[in-house]
Amino acid sequence: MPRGLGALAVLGAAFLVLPPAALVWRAPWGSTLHRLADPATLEALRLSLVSASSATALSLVLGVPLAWFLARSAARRVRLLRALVTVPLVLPPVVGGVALLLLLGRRGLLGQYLDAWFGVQIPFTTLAVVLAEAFVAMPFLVVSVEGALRGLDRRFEDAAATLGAGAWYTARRVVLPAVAPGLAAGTALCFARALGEFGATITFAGSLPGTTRTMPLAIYLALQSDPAAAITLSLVLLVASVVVLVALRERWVPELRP
Amino acid sequence: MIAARLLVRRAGFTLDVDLTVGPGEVVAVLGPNGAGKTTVLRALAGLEAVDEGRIANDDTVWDDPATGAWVPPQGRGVGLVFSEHLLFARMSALENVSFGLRARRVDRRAARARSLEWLARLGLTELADRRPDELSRGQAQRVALARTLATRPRLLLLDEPLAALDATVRGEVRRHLADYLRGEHGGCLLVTHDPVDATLLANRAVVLEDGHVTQDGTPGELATAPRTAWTAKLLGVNVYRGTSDGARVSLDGGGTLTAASAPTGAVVLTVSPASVAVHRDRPAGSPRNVWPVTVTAVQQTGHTVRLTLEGTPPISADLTPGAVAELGLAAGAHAWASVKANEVRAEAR
Repeated sequence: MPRGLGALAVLGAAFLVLPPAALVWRAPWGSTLHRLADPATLEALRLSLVSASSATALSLVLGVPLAWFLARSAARRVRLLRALVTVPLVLPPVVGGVALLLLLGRRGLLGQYLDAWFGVQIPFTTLAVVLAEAFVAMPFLVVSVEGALRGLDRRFEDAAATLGAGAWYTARRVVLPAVAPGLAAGTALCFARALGEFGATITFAGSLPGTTRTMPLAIYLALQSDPAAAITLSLVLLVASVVVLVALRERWVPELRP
Repeated sequence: MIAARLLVRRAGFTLDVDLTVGPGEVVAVLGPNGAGKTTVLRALAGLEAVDEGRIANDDTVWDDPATGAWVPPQGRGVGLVFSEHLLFARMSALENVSFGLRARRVDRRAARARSLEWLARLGLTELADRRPDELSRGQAQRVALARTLATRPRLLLLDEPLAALDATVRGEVRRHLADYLRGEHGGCLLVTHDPVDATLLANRAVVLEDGHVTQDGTPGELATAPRTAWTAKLLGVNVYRGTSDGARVSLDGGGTLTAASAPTGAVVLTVSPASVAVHRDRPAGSPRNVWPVTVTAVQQTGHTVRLTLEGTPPISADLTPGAVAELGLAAGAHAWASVKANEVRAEAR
């Protein structure tokens, strides 16, 4: 390693480690439990967990088949599709929120018909939170699962077929177990990303207490009125993130194992 | 009876093969790399469709693009064993063997019992609970064999099943395979590079070169009358079965050969025809194996002449045309064959 780079590396590490450390350092530990019992906090926490879990479930149901299709098709059109479905990965979430509004909003391309035909309005509902989170988080799952599927030796599926297994049986007993580490890592990343979602949520779902005000939104609001509460809420999300990271490290990402 | 006409087109390569495998028949498919051997197996297994032709098992058509008939792999009842074991990593040996039965909706207890039977037959009872990564290569390949045989395939396809094993375990796995193939079975197609496999396991051999069958006959016929240089080189190898006391091997067909090193017990010996020396008079000197022979056939393939020599044991020898002329060797001539002990390769069987 060239001389001088070491100092920059230390600076880089400090830059990433110090902010969370400051959060832990300045946390009002004495009143944390008391603040956590606050009904508004509990409401935001519950809403966050429910919507992030729902978004993750939705991502699994739709994202795994999509990943499968992307991994198993070599056609040129599919390469374009792969690029398109990973756009939310790099799109600013707030732009994603605007895009969702334009499609599913009350006057959106699809939303106007949902409203006119079924009387369904998605924006500013918990469903909108789930959709916003899934839109932002699902690509993480898709990319992770697709990579795992691509890395799989197809001959295992050939072997299963000649042993008499149909496609579903092979998928369940051979393919899914083999991609389980990638699937688990993708699920954890997807959940973590959904839990922290802010921009798309506030744009597409707003910030209605109990309905769409998830933890990140509550933190942002609290920071202006009650900084101590904001720090406490942040602490909760930090813990949740660390739990996801530890779970990844211990079980699913062996190269990170000490 | 499996009857297949396979026409598969790939960029720069066309496979065009007629093939039959009768019940109980073991057909070895030999040929250089890239000749299309694996494509034949994949087409028969249903992992690839033929572009033209027809594959039928008795009256059931498996693949016929002309009529659109198609039976997927899982409907064909074909077993395929690869050179790598391809065991499912997250299942125990027993679960691997049960896989095909469970896929056919055999209930759990019956599948377990039948799988244990197969594991026992292949000497794997103790290893039933092991994961593939806890098995040696030879053990894993036996489990893979048990996994396929447990489904009672009506056609067994073996894609170089012994190629990835080292010599010591190859004999053991081959013995288990031979045991199975001696019994009643629906037919077997064995892709191999090893003339020993072809000689010990197959009753018919098909040589595939550049997508076409260049020869079809018993392994013996292919060895004595090779039609192409490749066949001559591969199948010309002399193969003997015998019993070894550590160095001297009494051959099942009569005669003895001395190998520089040989395991004791049942062995299979191979002697390359190129390493056989032929003399008009009894040679003096170092060769350990010297015996009188009679020339029964002289055949030129390319730049070598293959002599078929009758004696105890019979042997094939490759000489240059010059040497044959110099020695005056023609059919009926009496001569002496000699082979150095370190040219005799021995392998347990």
